[in-house]
Amino acid sequence: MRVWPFKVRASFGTTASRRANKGSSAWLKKGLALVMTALLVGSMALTAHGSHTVITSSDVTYNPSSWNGYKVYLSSPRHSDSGGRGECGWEENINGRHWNIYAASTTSGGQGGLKNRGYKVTVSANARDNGWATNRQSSNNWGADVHIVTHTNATGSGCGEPAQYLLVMYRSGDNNSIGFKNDLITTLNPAVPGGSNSWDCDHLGECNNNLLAAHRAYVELFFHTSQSAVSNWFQAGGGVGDGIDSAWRLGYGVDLHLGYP
Amino acid sequence: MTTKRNSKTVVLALAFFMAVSAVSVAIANSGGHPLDPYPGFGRSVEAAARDDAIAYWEAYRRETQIATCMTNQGFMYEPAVAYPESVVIEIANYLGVRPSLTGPWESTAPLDTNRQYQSSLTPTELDAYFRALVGESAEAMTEADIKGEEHFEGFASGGCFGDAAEEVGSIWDLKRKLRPDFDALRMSFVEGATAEYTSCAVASGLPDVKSPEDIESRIASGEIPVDLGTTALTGCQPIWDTAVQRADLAASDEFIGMERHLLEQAVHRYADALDAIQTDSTFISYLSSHAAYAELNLEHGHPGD
Repeated sequence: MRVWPFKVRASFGTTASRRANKGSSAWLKKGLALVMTALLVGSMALTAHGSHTVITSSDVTYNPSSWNGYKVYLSSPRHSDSGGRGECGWEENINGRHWNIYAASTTSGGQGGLKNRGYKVTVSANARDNGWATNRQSSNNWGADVHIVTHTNATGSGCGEPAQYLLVMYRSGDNNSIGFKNDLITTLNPAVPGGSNSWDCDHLGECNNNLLAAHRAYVELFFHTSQSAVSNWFQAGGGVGDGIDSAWRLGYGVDLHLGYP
Repeated sequence: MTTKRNSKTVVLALAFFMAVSAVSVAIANSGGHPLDPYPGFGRSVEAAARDDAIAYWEAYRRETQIATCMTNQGFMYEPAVAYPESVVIEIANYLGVRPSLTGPWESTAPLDTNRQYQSSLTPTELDAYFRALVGESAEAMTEADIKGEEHFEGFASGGCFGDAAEEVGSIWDLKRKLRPDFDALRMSFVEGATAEYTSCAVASGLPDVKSPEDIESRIASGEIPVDLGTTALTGCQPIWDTAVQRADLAASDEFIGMERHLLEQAVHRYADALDAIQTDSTFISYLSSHAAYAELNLEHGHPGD
């Protein structure tokens, strides 16, 4: 039997479905109406913010209607122990891909996501397989011009601390990478609680010279130190006003760096 | 009578859509971009697909070379091309290759086959395997795998992997080398094309604006309401697009003039690539299998969120 290498943790509408099965025949119509309403609301929420539960070995590529000549690879985390790293009830691999999907495809906020801005964008898989080198190889083979890694940093120091910062890392001695880091801090920092920080990522495989994209940055969107700050970023099912609404700022940072091509 | 009129409407509508489609196809195929003739620099749909096809083929050749090299040293290695899945499907479509899930991707993705093989080796064998594959110890590779860290330049770029990279090369090598020059050129041309954008922004109620950057920065900082900023961005975007397109074409012409020798070397190097691809039956079979796997993975996976 073929087993596809991906898993889904949860889905919408299960509670509503169970509730419908309990109803007596007299309440059937009412129950069905409730179920339909719940499904409708659920699907609207999905459209707006997604279920935020997906672990997958699939990547996804977005093609703009008119390409500006730049390919952007958004690399999601692939930690084998994702979910067990002290993420305050969330999961780093899922967080990273969730952010990347919106950064690629959102149509709201300024000029929207990267696709809206004319970039070809690939969002990597986020399987729990330590497969970061596969992301790098895929980015290199595809000829990505821009490679951005986005993780959320689990510290394991508990979830009752103050919110901790946006960290954007760069390749030392590479003025282009340093400039890109500055641009991303400019665009992302106002939306992340706890200030910002930066240092080099020369020792990381998705930052050093084995990565071939001309424009590179390694982002830790925030640290999992504050339950409320983390949960605000990734509300289950997504409520309007959560942190993911800021995902357009990644495209803004790329445009800022490349001069709005 | 009504039915007849409806039929006529349907026929007219179909004719219209066919005409629109024909025009769209004509636009897609017409003219192209000045950089299209140069492999690795393709910008139109057709030229970009050509570049991806060649890039994928080169990745495949690197992988098969690694497999041969590893086999010669007594190890098993399944060629495992890493490439964005939907682009693999586009490449198959471009080359007229029908996806068929037979061959290397039929039961397990080659990457997983290689991982399973690594798991079957003794510690000593695994160490020899990684030294042959990338020139590093198993201990160093395991640490890198878990932590994402590579402690020195050129880590894991030796062995069969390094030999294959050096021998096959990449269609993107020249683009990577020249991209900074081209970017600088393009931006210098854009800088002179902002007066019209400024006028448009003023008409939208936003003074002191030279580019979309000025508007987005004000939205991002909360200086102006999102609605006002978005309206100005949307309304003035056609002006920016035209200015950028003009700058891009001017920069491309100048770039071609500056780098003609290197660009023509690339043309020469890849002159027979598509013919070679079409007649490489093992490659076509591999691509067909990979594309079918990608289709299933995308169908069963979660392309959205």
